[in-house]
Amino acid sequence: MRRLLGYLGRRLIRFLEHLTSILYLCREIGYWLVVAPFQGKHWRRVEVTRMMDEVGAGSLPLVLIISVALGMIVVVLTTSQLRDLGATRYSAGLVTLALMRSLGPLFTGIVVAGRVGAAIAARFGTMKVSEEVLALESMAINPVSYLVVPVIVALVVMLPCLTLFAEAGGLLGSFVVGTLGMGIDPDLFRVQVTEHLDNFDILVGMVKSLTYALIVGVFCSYQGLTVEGGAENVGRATMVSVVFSIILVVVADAGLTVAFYL
Amino acid sequence: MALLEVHDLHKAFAGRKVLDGVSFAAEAGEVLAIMGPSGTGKSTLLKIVLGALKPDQGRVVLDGDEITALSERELDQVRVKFGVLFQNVALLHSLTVGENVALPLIEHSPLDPSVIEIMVRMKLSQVGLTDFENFYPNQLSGGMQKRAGLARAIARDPKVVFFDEPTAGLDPVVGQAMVKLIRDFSRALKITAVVISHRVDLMLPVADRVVMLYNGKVVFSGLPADMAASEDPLVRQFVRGEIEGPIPVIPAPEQLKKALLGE
Repeated sequence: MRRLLGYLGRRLIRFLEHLTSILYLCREIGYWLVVAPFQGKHWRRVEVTRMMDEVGAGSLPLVLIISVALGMIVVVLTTSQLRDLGATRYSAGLVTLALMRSLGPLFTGIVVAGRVGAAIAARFGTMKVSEEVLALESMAINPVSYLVVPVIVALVVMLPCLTLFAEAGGLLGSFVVGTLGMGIDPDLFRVQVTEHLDNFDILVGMVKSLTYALIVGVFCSYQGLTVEGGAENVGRATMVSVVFSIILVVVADAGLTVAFYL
Repeated sequence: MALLEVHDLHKAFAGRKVLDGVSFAAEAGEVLAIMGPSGTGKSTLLKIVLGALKPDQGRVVLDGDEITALSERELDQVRVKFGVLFQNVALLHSLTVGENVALPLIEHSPLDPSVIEIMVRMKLSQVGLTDFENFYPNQLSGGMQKRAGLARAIARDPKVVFFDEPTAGLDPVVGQAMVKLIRDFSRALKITAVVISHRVDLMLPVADRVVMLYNGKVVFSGLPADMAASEDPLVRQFVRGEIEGPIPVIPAPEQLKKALLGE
């Protein structure tokens, strides 16, 4: 019992240490993102543009493939169930609600967490163990300003854009399979989608994607910049950052969905 | 007046003392070699001097600024006064050699990009890398990467340059050329060079003064000739590279037995 309590106590202390460090990183990001530009220390435009290209253009094909496939899956499942009730006409509306309110932002967040989050953690981790981060500090270049801020800006700008593409891709996939494969009338599908498309849902999708952008950016940057040791620990940090950022994205989605729609 | 002063530095990790009252000073324009066997606290010392680590006790004063008492933002004002050549060189691999050298100039000077470009070419020519401006670090050999790192370290004409094991991973000829380059730069540009190394053969001929660390303490401080002639058992064993002596190389049979069997 004593050993168990000791173990739990140590885990709690480590968790609080991580939490404090993440909060400190958030404070630094806030300073370099919001305050520093007013003091003449501007964001690095070249790095921001490069990261936006990597996050946005780099993730777009993957996001489209997954969202189109997701739309196809959802329309098949909902239509087959509603057919038993003789209510296939509501299928397109249900698909629209599911994609706009949750699945579109959620799957985009997961794709970006897996693809970009892993790249961020691996890049920063490698730079940390090869002393590149220390080199930046020794040149009086703040690593948060130089490395993390461009990542955060790129994610905050590009994730909502990717979410819009994912939602459109999902609707396209569901339209193709719903009308060609499940026998839904194309005009009825269009009317149902239009009826169920709501500005509030789009806004919620944007709020969700901004939240995921911050989760992925902060958590994966933290994991990368706190790597110690060698290549093995870089791999471990990459794995941890992907797994936990996906978990955090899903938990945040659950929380936001409950908060907005319950 | 000393340009770099280190006073009574103490640092411990998990109860293990890594630095135990280290004090020394580096005069302007000299080559100071900080030597000692592996694991004697040389790298920890460098991190404290660079402001990347806080000591448990003691002070580091660089050109009148007490590094150990400054906040992170205040430290950045002091960091522009020195350059560093890291053991792994630590060039940013996403940038070309030219961009690496230009980075501290872009960040901390109001110079026009065209002037920065000229300065980068000048620095690269000083280290013999004239035609390698557009190469990426991984396209260069180990010796060339070290020279590119040196060009970046001297980009802003610092007063002090710290060298962490500048000959690590280099063959004897390139290693010799590297220490000669350090000495020539120090002489020509009046730069104080603080060189952390364990290569006695390479450093004694070029250093103006030597500080030797062992178990976190300064065990020798003086001229290279005095170090070479020292009769102190620790210094003598280190200088001559002898296996037998007070610096343990292989654990004694009793220690090995205890470690393996717990007896």
